[in-house]
Amino acid sequence: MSHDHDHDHDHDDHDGHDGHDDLDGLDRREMMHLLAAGAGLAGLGSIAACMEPPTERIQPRVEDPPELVPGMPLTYATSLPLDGFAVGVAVTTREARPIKVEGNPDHPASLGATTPLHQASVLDLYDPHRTKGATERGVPIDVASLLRGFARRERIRGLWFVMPPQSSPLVASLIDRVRARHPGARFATFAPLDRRAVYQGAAAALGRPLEAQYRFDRADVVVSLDADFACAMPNSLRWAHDFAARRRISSPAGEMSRLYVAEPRPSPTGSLADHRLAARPSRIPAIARALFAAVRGRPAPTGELRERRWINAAAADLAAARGRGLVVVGDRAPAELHALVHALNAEIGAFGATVAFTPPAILDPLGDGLPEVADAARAGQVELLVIAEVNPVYAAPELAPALIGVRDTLCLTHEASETSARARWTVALAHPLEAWGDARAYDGTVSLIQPMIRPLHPSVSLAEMLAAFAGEEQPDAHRLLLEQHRVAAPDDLGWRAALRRGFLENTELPAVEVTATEHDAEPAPASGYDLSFDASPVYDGRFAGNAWLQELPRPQEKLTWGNAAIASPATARALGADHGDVVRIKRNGAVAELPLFVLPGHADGCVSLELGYGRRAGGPIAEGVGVDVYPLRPYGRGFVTGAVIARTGATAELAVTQQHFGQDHRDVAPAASLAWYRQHPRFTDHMWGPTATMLPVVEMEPRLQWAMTIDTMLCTGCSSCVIACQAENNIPVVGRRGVVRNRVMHWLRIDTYRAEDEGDVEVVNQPMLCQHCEKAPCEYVCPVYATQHSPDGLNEMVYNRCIGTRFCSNNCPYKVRRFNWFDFTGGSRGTTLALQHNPTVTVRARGVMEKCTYCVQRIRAAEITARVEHREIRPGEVVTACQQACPTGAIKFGALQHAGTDMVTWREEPRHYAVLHHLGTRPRTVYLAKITNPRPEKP
Amino acid sequence: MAALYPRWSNTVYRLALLGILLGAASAIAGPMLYVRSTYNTSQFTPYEQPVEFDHRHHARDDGIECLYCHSAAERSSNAGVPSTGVCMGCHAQVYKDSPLLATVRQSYFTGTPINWKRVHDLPDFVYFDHSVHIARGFDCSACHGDVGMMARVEQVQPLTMGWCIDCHTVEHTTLPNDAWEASMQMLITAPTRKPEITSLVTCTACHR
Repeated sequence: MSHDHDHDHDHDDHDGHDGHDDLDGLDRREMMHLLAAGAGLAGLGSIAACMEPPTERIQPRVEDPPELVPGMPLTYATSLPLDGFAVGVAVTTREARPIKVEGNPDHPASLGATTPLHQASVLDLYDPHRTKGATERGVPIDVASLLRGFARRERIRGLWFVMPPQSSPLVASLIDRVRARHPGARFATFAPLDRRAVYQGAAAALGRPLEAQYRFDRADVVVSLDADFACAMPNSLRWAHDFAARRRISSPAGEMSRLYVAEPRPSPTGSLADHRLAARPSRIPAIARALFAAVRGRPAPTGELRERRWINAAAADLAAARGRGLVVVGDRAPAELHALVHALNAEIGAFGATVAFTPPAILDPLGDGLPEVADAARAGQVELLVIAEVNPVYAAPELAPALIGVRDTLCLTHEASETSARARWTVALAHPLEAWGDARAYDGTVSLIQPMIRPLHPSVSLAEMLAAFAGEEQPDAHRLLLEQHRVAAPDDLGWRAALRRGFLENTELPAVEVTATEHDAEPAPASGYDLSFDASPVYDGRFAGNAWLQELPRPQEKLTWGNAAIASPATARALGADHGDVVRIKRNGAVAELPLFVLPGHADGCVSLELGYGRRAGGPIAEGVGVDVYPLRPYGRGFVTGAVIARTGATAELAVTQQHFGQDHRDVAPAASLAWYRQHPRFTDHMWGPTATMLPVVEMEPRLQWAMTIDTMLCTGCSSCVIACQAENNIPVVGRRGVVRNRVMHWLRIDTYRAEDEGDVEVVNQPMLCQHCEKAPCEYVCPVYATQHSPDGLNEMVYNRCIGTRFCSNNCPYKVRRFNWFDFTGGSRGTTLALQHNPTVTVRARGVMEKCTYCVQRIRAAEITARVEHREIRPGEVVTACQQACPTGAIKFGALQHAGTDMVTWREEPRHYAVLHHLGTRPRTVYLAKITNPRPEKP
Repeated sequence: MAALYPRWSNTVYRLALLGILLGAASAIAGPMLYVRSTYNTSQFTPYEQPVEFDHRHHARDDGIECLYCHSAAERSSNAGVPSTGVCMGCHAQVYKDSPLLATVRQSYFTGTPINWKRVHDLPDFVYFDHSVHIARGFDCSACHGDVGMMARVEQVQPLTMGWCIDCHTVEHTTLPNDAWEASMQMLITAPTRKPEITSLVTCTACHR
């Protein structure tokens, strides 16, 4: 590196001194002569440069921290909060760089699993487009002196804070201290995906704004009313785990729970449903009312036949499973519907059995919100507005003009956002992986946040910002945290143990006894089209600068890089528009134009829109991707009715990763009902066992043979595994154009198969990765032996041997091999993004093939550890990245010799199968057929 | 009719033919010889280091174990170059004013790392692990040579893939006796029997 630099330098000097003068006195012949000689010398020089590799340097630390051994990973427990709710994670660091986020198995809100947002958070940390330091009117200033300036001020009049919902005990006490120093200071919370209605509903039905703690592991009948509880709710990781525990059967004799889902857009939870009803959001309250009535013995009077059948079936099951039933309603439902569902749960005996109530982890959940700030601003009562971690100018366009009108605004922000562009002062926000703090989990457990790395840039956390306003000239979140939890010194043994664990034990909030008063949800009359607003892979837009999330396919649509107007085929027909036609959506004067995405299974008369796109600031990844639909949404609402939609005549290209969703009668991903499975337990018999082959029999070597088993009845398609794989294996993103050209690089994708049966859409999610075939078609065609079979059953890919013929990819029936058409990883070279790379996996260059390796780096690391310790590898010691991330535990990995592990016992179940078994590839990855549990008689 | 070509042209023709054959052969053999040359493998090239550190003095005269300074080798993939703190552990007492150690003291007191040159450099797509080789009873000198005799450290083995495979393909052979004896003196947790080289010889053992 330094060599190159010197060379450049010499060159510059030469040109500067005498280059010009000499050229003037040259004739053409002499010139050619010199050029030829120059070219020759340059050629020799470059050959010499190739021959002599630059000497690498080693810079050992001046003083080694005792725990840090070069080459050894270290894992620390910490927590990642999102809109107030913390999830415990375990972060792997390499040479003091955090490179991978895993779930913390001991944390009640994680149980070892993560969401895609957690997996991708490490990329946000290294985002080169993060804000750095502080600015005043665009001019860089010193962070410390800015904070000191605010710390010295007292009794600031008209001081308002806007921040996401908070659960942190530290923030709570800092708010008290700020209030004491600045009497009259007001604190408002703002989250684009608002949960205020949840607490309003609880307050109405239960008398207090309580949080429902569901016990899906005790529920035999679950009814979800537009609730994606397995994926998109604050405690989804826990709930998905619990739901899977009551759901999975290990033999045809097993008993499984039954799931009813009524929802507008096919969600991951909906893909598991036994009875799914596509219903527009404005219809959900009417369905809930009818369900309540039917539970009390009055069959549903109105509605279409399918809806009546669904309601009557759900009501019959709920009534029969008294104390074992549960009704869950989605966060975006209006408050009255939440109240009604509380009464319904009380009616079916769910209280105390499948649902308990605790005080909310969130501080003051019904306190001031953004409308109160806007009112005060319009009245001229806001003198200094502190906007922390939120982007209201983008996400609350109705209220933005009032906020922009405030003269002095201080914005604490991760990226240069729409809001920070209009602020007088901006301060860089510390990432949770580089800050101290705390936050409560959904059940109230106080979870600790500890830094994995010293801040990459000058930045402050929300707690430090509040401490400055509380009068601390040099706020130090670590000291504040110790004081908060009354720890005398950082080396206090109990505190160290808590940090190691990641949370404070027995701090979950106690359940309270409640009774529900009855409430009626008067359904609002629907007119025109319903618009239903969902979170997107980039959540509410705050993660729009994260390329992994931008390129993460939606579970059902497989859409990347942008949003669309998602509608049913019937709605598309009514609009006279086709898949990909641009439609104009109008509501109350606001207009947005988006491409139409036709999705079977979507409710008619309704269009689903995803928030978080069409950013006008936030860096090159975020800006200009998709369409901003916030203007269509009244503040804080999850859905709205009365929209007018028409096609514009234009068409748009949708960047999707899967175009075909049918199985074409080929049994690629089989599914059956429980009743059918009991009658025909061996219904997948034709999909496993020996096949006729001309290839020689290969004896397995007597060493551990690696394999994977995936249960498709547990896969929701949430795609946490996809990002986990990406983070672990240095997988690049290819961008929108790359996706359109089918050049996406994900080693693990989730194939979704849909079958329509009498208007029902049945979905099978099938995680698809290298199958590690025992007779792998790719291996026979590689001309340079770059892909081979290992003695322990892995299909190996050797990058340094690959010359990029792509024969292997052509011969792979599973289409799991990915080719580096361009130098996709080159962009990260020399930027902070390179710090994220896993040093145990090669960063691939242009022109080589790559694919899933079963996380071979983890297998080899375990082998080496076992050898160093003079023992055998223990069952369950090797865990792949996808397996670790999966919330429902659908993926199991291990050695075939380790009898008794889930991986081995699962693949002995009758419903196991090999994908494309008839080709005789003998995959090591074995799947279990999806089993659903519909009511035996067709409702 | 006089000959069109003089007699000596036959010789020229034969020599030219020979030249073409030799040229073709050397075009093939040349690169093959080159990659095996010590020039290409960077063998036997003593590196000038920022500190005139003499292994002869430390390892041979003072008898300091390799693992005293390269302590990560037992646990980690990397053997690790010692931190300045390890140097100063002794040299805060011994030769504490020596001008040879000025760079070390400067590093320690200013907090700037010493910029050593890497002598044993494997390609970036190779994942070698020290700990497993040490645990299986290998002596450091098996790969690194007798460092205790080197004023400036140089690479003595080719460290090519063929050289690695030479050991690893010999299934179920054991280490040479002298290497075993030497390693027994060095190990803290000694295995109960002489280990066999049964390791996995497959691409992903080293390339991932």
